[in-house]
Amino acid sequence: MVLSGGIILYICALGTLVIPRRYLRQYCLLSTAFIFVIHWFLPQQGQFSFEFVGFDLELYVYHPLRQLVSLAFSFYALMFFTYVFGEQQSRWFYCLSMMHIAASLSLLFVNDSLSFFIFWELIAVSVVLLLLEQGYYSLIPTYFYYQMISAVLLFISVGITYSVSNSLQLAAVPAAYPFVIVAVCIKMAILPFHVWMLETYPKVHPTLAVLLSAYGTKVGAFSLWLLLPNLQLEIFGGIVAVVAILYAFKQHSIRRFLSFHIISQIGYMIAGIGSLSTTSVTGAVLHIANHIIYKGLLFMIAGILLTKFGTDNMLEIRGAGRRSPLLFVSTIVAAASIAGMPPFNGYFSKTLLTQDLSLITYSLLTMATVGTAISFSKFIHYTFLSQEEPLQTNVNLPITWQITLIALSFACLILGIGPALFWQPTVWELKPLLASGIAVLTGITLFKWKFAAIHHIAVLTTPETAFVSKKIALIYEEVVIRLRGFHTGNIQDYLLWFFASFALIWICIVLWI
Amino acid sequence: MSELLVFILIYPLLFAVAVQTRVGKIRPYEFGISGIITGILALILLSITHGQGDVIAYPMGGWGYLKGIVIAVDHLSLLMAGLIQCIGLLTLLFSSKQSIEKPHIYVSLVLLCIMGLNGIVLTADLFNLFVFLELASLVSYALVAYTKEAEGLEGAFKYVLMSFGGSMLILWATALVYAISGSLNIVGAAEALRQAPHFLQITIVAMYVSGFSVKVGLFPVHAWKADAYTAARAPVGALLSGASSKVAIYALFRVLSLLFGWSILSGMNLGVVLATLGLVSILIGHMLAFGQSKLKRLLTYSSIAHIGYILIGLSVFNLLGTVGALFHMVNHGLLKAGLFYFAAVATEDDEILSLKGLFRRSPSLAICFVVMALGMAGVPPLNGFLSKWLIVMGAMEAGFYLHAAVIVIAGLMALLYYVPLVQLMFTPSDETQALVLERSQMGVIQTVVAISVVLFFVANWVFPVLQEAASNLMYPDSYIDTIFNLN
Repeated sequence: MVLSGGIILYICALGTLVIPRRYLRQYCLLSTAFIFVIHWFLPQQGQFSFEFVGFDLELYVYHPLRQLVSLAFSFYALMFFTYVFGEQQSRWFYCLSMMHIAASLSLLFVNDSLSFFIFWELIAVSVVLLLLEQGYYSLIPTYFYYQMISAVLLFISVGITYSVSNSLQLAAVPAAYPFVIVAVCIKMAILPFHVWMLETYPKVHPTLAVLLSAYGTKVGAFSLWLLLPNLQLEIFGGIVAVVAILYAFKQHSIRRFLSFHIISQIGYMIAGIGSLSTTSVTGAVLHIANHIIYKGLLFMIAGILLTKFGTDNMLEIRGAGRRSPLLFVSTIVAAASIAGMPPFNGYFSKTLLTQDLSLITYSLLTMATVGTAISFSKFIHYTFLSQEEPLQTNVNLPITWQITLIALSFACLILGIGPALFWQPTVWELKPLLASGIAVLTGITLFKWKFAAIHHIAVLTTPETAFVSKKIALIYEEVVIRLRGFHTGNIQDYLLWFFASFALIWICIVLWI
Repeated sequence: MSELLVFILIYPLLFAVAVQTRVGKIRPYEFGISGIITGILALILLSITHGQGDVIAYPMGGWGYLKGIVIAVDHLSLLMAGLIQCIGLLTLLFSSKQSIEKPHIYVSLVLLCIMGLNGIVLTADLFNLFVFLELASLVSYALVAYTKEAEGLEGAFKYVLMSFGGSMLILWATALVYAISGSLNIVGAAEALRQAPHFLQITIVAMYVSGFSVKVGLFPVHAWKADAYTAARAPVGALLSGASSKVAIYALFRVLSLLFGWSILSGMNLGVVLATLGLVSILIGHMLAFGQSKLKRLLTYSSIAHIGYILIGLSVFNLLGTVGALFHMVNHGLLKAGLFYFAAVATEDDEILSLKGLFRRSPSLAICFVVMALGMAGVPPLNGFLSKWLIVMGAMEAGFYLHAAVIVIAGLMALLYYVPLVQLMFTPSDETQALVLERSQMGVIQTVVAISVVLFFVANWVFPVLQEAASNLMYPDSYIDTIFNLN
């Protein structure tokens, strides 16, 4: 029997409640490092399965792709606890954030829908508790309702799958597809279900955003592979990637801007997983892992900018490049990765991902790449390069932040070069190199050439109250008020209902013989 | 050891009378609590000697099942009895620190209510069942009216009128059964009843269903419940909604399954009728709980909805659904009792708005509420999730897709009214004076929370018990055989 790493991390999370205050941060670092090592040496055989209330649960099943994502998850957990090392957080913060990571890690290895569903909800519940702990009471409803709608839909699909196949298999049956797709789309924050993301990531404390942005949506993308292994979603992914970029153009708040880029990158993942070809699926899952690294790096940069410069608006921060060279370099690395510049990790996974795609999807994704390059040029141009204000003193970063920035930047580089050299040398062929190079350069040139025009390209406005709109709420309230009107409190009415119900039940039974 | 059955049946009566004597310096609460602990010990002793798969029956006075009264117990009855004693114990423990006038009478009433409920789950005799049901109901009216406010009397009055309607139908049905079969024993009457004309069978079933659904508080006869439970003191609400309504559901299904067997009942499509009633109850309950300004009223409407879950689980009539429903009876009983206790201490005037800033005033109480609310909404890792899962899977297996979907969506509807409460509690308010609770009251609430977390993780050990109980309900052969063998 093999204990899954996520379960071990859960046990470690309980430890944070008893460890002396002084050693708490070291303890978190040690336990995440331990978890990383565990996931590095995962046993390929062995299972962790048992019977639970009459259902067979499988909490651990080995698959190289599962291990791949789990390595990224646990590495990022290590980076996160290094990042918060210099901060004073409460005991519960450490406990709950560990639980959040543990739930995400556990979900990667499960092979039955009951435990999948449990961890699916636990991810959301841990975030809600984190929001409660950090005092963001007003953000809870949007986040929680969206996540619960997603859970409800997943629950229904699990039920349908169970009643059709009589097993708790993860792969959904066709009758359950509509429910699964919407459930996963909400989890991935695909437009127009992205409201929960905009209500959480840009509004919470930067440290919390660094944690949340890494796990929630990526779990959704990964579960697409688990739940819908037979569904063609290629073009959908391409469209998502492009549309999200259009939204990202308009943003000036760095974290909102990054949030839309998460959606756009998830479009790539959907395209890869939805193409159903082995290489593209591998590339897409690899892209999930790489995405965690560079998007985590970007969110850390955003957090540092917000802490050091006091604002989240990229037009107000000026000349950050001169004031903190390290920050500038790591931003360049991260931006190059997300745009798919060789030799960084984004290039590698995107090339693998796009190998077997149809022409339409490929061109859609290329458009998205150009758009990514444009919008990151904008980000770097305003925040780091422009120098309209008089030059100020350097910004000193704490040593823990420096370590995380350097480590994640190197990870971007190594993950781009390493696998490409030893595993898939085909990505170094001329064609993909040229294609992505040209796409990125086109983006930068377009920005340089006419950035005033591009600045106004995005005519779309963000629908803040999509989906669970005020209207639905109002209708619901209206129905409730009508219903309440019937409950007059008069005993005569109630007695009438009583006799009517007896007659009704009697008639129902008689009629249905 | 079957004499223990008699003890479990009448110990509350003994203690209730003894409290009234006021000999020496009997402290009513301590006395009542020790009484219930005796009862729990007897139950434990009984279940240890009970063995695997056995049904224990005891003919009162040795009269046999045709003439005399038989009390019998199987796993299902034991489970229900355990639930009743547990909630009774928690309620008395909790109310001992509430300032309730004339505690002697209050304790007696609670004990008598427990006796009535015990009688319902232990008896194998139709008329006895009616008598105990009436005993429990009569005491409940008194308990609801146990305030000096006009509201309490009004609530109790509605409760009395509606409940009498239900009792009338139950008694009528029982009389019909007696007229047809000449026996009042459930098992004894069954055989003759299955030969009876179809029309009579239907009428009897309809009478039992409508009669018990008043006691349960099912749609469309749920309306009295909101008034009665809101007017009652919160611990009384806990007892009634935690134990009484569950026992009424138990009685309905026990009687129907023993009298007719499920094959006849499914021929009448009773499952569909009951499940649909449950479905409407869920929708109505959750919708009316939304936006209430009184905490207890909100909890009551939520109770009505959860009764719907249980009913659907039982009416799909497969093992999964039945196990889920029984598990949900336990879970909802405990959690709802816990929420009513919470309502008793968190607010004085029962206004939801006065919950504002509760987290600052008493952090542990607010956290307890969060856990209980999540449990009610069915969020893992809490017991409410598991029972909901089982019911949904059972309904899906039996082809009740719509009902399963509604149960799942209902979790969301529950969150619609629990999340604003949590938000309100965590918002700082002007009042910052710490809310200090009596240790035993806090202890009771924390026990409920602890049980609801633990029940999820030990569900594997609870599950066989529930399975036994469910198969007792679905295939009552051993129950029937044991009673037949008494003569």
